[in-house]
Amino acid sequence: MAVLAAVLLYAIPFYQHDISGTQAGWQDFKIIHLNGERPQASRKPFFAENFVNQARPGVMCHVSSIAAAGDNRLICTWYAGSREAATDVALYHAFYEEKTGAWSEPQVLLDRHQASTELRRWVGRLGNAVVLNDNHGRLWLFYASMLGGWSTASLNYKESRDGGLTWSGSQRMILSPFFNLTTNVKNNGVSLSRGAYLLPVYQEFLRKFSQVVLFRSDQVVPSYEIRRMTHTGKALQPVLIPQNETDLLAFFRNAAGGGQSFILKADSHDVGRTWSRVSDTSLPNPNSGFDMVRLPDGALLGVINHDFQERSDLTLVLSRDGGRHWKTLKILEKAPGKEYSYPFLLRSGSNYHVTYTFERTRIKHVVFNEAWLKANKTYDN
Amino acid sequence: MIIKAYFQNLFPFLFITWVLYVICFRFNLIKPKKMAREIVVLYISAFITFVPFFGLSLADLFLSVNPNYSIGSVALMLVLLWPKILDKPLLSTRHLLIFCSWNVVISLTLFSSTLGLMPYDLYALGYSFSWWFIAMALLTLLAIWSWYPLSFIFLAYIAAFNLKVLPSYNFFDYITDGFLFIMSAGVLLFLAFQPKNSIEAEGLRSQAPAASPPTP
Repeated sequence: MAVLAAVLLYAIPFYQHDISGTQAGWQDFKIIHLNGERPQASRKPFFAENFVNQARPGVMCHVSSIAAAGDNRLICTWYAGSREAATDVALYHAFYEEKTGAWSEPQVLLDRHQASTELRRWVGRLGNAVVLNDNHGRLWLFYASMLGGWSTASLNYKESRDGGLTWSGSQRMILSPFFNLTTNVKNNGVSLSRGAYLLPVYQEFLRKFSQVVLFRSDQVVPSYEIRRMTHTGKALQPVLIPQNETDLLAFFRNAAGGGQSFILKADSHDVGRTWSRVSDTSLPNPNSGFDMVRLPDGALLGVINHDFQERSDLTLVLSRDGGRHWKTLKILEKAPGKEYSYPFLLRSGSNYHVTYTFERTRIKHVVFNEAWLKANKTYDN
Repeated sequence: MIIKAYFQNLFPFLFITWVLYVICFRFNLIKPKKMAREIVVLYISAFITFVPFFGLSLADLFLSVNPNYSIGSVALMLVLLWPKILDKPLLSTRHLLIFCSWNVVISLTLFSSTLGLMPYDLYALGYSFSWWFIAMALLTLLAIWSWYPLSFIFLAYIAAFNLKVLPSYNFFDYITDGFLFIMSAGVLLFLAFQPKNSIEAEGLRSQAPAASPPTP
């Protein structure tokens, strides 16, 4: 009887996975590749910069993200508080009207008390947050909550069906069997077929490495699974770049520290399920976050701290050979002793939006169009 | 969703009840087989576990530290609690030793992989049918053959996974968790260093050898 029960019980996952096909496996998804969708080129090169929020005494802000919110609006999120991982850190958001080029007044999106109430769990601190659009009319906010320091971070998500005006309650994600330690988020996801997407995350409890979450958002209750991307103890905060329906490039922050560290790179040929070993690129990295996107013509556009030690400059870089060689397009910021860091890069129609931490006091927004990129002398050289 | 919401509170309730029983026995506040007093203990335990103080209950705080208590954790708490309520063990000491050793070994292997201490991504095998499910099916058959009482726990892993009674989608989260590792290591240490008489007094040692199947 017990033997029969065992056989029948183990036959159920086998049936679901291999026979009925009710549960889509990782191999069933394809990357929604936007390469063929060339944005309408604006007639005139356009470049503008402004601030998402204003500096407040004693308040630092950090880790911004930006996503299309529908109706020609963008939503930007970031965290702010007295210091990083302080108990008063809250998540903020503001909306950008693409027609007027103006930012709305920042509002608190979530503080730790609200997160605690929604999750029905003790939340000591809030951390990094990323907002992304799933191309199915929904926004998703992924944010880290912590009991103590960064190494206790766990991920949670909220969903909005009205472009970020209202949000669902928070849901905790279970991504590790060891006290759910420790998963954090920094960069944008990649849209897949069936309403799913890949979310790059990273872990820094005992060792530092990167992971990717396959998030199936088309179900009543979203499901997800997590896989390792790297095995080195230094590759963090992955940036995912779609190459075609199945291939991805990933670039990583180099957390090795000391000496001359370079941005790391790996690739996948099975929608992010398995990854090659990481290798150095020629781009320097001062153990700092960065972001990259793929341009319609296949080139890679990045926003990085172009330095081995400091986060005192922020530079637009371009590669035409899949990340082997890079050239500088424009230095966005450069001031010794100051910090310009954690850029987030979004392509929205023909425009490119960069948000980043400006001297830890404000979030700065830079927007330019494809015509501006092409007008740059180094673009085609 | 409803099953998940309620089932995840089972472990905190069992743990608090076990702690209350340990305290009661230590201070002679309760005698075995006194039904009325035991109902009072269970009632107090439910009150302590589920009534929110400052917005969160003790169960919520337990789930804040570890959001996914495995079937293994629930089983271990039942094994520890059973002799205190019914005055007879659910598992023999030998089977308890095997169960805790299994918990420690699988936990150490899984955590080494998950925390990046070994290059192989074991945890990824738990989301859908893989060779790990075949290995667990064979282990379950071995348990049915060799350690019959433990086979119920092994069957409970996969039954609970199929029913998705826990928040996690990963089969490994139904087998073990960080808390189970600590508890199992603690039980092994306790059994290793406690004198025989003391173990019997704690109700961990089997008092009915006939209930255990003979060693093959």
